[in-house]
Amino acid sequence: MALLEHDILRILMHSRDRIAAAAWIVVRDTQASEDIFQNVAIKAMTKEVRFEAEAAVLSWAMITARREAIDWIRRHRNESTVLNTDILDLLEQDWLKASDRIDVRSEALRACLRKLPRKSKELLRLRYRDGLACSRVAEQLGDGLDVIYKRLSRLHHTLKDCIEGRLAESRTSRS
Amino acid sequence: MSDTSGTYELLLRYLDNALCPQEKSHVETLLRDHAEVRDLLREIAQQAVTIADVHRVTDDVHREPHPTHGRGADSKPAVKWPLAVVAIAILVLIATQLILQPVRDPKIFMVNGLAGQMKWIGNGGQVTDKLTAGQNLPGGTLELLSADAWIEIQFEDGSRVSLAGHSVVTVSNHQQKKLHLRQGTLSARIEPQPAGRPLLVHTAAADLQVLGTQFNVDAQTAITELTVNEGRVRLTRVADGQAIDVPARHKVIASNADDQGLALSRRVEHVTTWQSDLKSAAVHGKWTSNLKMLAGRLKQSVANGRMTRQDAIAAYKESATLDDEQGSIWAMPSAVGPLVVLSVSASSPAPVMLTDRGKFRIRGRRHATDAMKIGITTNEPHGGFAGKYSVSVALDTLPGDDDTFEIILPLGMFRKDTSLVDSPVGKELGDWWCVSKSRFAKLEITSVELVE
Repeated sequence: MALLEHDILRILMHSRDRIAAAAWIVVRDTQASEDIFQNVAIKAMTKEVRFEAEAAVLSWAMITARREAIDWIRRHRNESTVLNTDILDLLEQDWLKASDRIDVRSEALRACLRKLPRKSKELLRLRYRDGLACSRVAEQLGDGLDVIYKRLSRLHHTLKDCIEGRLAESRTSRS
Repeated sequence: MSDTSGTYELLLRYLDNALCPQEKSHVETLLRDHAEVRDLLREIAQQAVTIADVHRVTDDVHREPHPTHGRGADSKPAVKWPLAVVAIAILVLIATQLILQPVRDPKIFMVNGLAGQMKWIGNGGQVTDKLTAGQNLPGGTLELLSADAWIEIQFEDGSRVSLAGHSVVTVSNHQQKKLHLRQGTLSARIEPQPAGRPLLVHTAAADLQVLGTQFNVDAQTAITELTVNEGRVRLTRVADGQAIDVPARHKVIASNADDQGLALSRRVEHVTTWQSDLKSAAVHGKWTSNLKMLAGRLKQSVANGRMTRQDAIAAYKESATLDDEQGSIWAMPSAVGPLVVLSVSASSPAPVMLTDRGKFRIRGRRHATDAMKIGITTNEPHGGFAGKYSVSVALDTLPGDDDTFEIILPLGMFRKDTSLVDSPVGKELGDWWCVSKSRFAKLEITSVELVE
């Protein structure tokens, strides 16, 4: 039986960060990836697309997001920055196989972000919210480019550890 | 792949195109051969979009603690100066301020929260567009410049007033609070006011006297709509001085063009669907009848030599009817780009409640392929501003015949802009708006509906 519009939307909203992240890997612009996710959701609602299962929705959404993202790159960037197709295929399979519930993971990340010191939040805001290249971030913060890359790398690492710690904690408390 | 931070750094440089060809090729080999490296790349991407989302919401709502409440954790330690030197410096500073500073108006209210573009004109004409939550301001004029703008201010007695969308209000508090609402939507929760000094709201069409209540005012050029949710408000029509007391759960419309008596109407039960009447609901945008559009197109065809004058007149006569109510609304320039704003109350006598089954069906014609942002303003069912929600749409990817398009947007797709609540479900629809992301794009809307 085909999924109802309401179910499709629920599936897409639960996987919002995953679909937007898949688009971000191509466009590397958080605003554009958010717009691409919204376009994907609109297409799912507007077009005559029938889905029988959740996996079909996600698979279609990933493919559509990639297509939209490549299209966005063509319209907005001169240089070729798109990853090779075979790598994008592998990443897509990884996204679809990922066992963690993406909304739970996002919640954990939001909680971890709240605990970061202000200077770290500012660095992440400049890089990802404002979309500044690391060289511009370095200029704004008066640091060297290497320092910015190292700080960002450590932050991503710290956040990943924090997320996994929280997920492990919640698994333990449930069992 | 044990050096995770090192791999993150390599991936970040790769994403920034900051590697030489050999290094780039090395990263691509790692991505092909090692699932754990791909995991790190996915982790970066997921963190990036979530970080942006978190900042987007907090930046927009500006609910950060008041900066004067304490020093940040990473503030530099204060330098310890000898006490006497500090005391003398403070005295000199105070004396200098007293002598040199112009006399400033006293602060009369505080900004509780805000989002979107706006400016403040106060202190004898000083203009600023850098308002922040927690800021105290003297009397002056607040101008909200964008459809998604919102601000809540609070007086010393706890009375709160919020403005949303394109609104302009002048605020003063010389012995009694006065709000001059030149245009826009204002929602207020007013604490009991001192006897003989009610809060006054002036619009082009009405004067309101408020002793303590919750009410919403929607003011356009010559029409003011007042809805009272709690308490009682006295409305006096400017055109003829006719007055009426509006009790709770009632509304009244005052128009300068109306010579009939003021009519109270009871707030009726809500409905869950809405069909816009583009002609009467337009708060921002230009309504044009289909017939006028046809005349324009025919004139152009004659001017271009594609049609004779006689053929054009014949075509016009054939299409002409006495019903000139059908048409479309065109976006008009605004500070944030070409904009259309539709007032829901102007085309629905009953409040429109948003349900989880609700979806907007928007039809129009594309004259450009630029993305547009579609949004709604919501109110609490018992009064007061509830939040703004929006969604971005790229017109070039939408299905539709020729230059027409139809978009279906379930409410679940709208993201919060300025609300602390995730979903608009359970709120009342205040207005609908759309703005093109390109400053010069043409935008034509032919129909907006909320359906289930």
